[in-house]
Amino acid sequence: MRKFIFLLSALFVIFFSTQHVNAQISATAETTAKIVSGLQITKEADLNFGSMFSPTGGGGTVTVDVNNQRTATGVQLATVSGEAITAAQFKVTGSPNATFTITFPYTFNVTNTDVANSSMTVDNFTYNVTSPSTLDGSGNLTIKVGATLHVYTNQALGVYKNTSDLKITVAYN
Amino acid sequence: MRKTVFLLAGLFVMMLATQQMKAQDVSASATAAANIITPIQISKAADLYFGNIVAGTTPGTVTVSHDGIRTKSDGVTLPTATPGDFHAAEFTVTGLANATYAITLPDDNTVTISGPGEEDMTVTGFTSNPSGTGTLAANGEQTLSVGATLNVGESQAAGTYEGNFSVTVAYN
Repeated sequence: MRKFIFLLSALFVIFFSTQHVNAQISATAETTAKIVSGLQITKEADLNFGSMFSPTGGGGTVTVDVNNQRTATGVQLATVSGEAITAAQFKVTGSPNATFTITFPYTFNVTNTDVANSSMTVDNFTYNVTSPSTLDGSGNLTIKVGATLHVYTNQALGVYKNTSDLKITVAYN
Repeated sequence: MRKTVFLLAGLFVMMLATQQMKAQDVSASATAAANIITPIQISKAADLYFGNIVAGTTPGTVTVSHDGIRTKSDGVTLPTATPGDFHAAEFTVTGLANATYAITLPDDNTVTISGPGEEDMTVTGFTSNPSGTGTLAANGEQTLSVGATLNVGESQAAGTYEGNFSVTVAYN
């Protein structure tokens, strides 16, 4: 009987010590997180078609390209001192070399700020980039937007501005 | 237990980072503008008058500057007692406020004035103030003064001589 108990006790002791050894084993895992620069876009220049004369017959178009060069068909242009012709310009900043998608504007109207019910269509947007694009090594990219303005016969005199957005949307992809 | 919690925290941070990148959908807007403007116009406010001149036996000239100062050269005489009415021509230019415009004056040998004599007299050397290019004021106006030189022939017949000349302006 004593022998048996001893064996039993020994077994029991062995059993317990095994459990204890199992509970000591552990492993570590790494966890990492990278804080990235948020993608941002700010406007740097508006789209300005400048001054032009009301067409007396037929109407036409005035185009500003991404290099701020203005041309016209069927519309006589005017050069006014101090007036700068510019394509719209936006600056995108974010993570260096990151790629991102660009959503471009839709056709919109500019309306007369002095005379009611007078507007002109702006469309045929041109760009210096495509979508998707890549930020440079410093995390920057400049987007330029040109467009075409449709001027109609006897277009009412005055300054015309847009009420709906010439909007650029960007997102990391 | 500690191991499990640690692993779970790691997963959570990674998930959060991914979510932040997907939420980067930002926009900016620009204004589009155009200005439909009024044509440039010019109207006369005063004629160019050379006043009374006594012709001599040799040719001479009489100049009325754009400032309205009258001078003479060679064969003519300007009577001091009865100088007559002399002044520069004056035009009013109107259009878009602050716009610049080019001024074109008559070339020499394009303008003559005629009267009782057989010989017409030529008007040359047109000058203006402003010269070459003008700039409309904030009210869209500018006064353009024009002077010139009258070429008087020897023994030019007495009488009143008249003619016309044009000044052209254009936005530039």
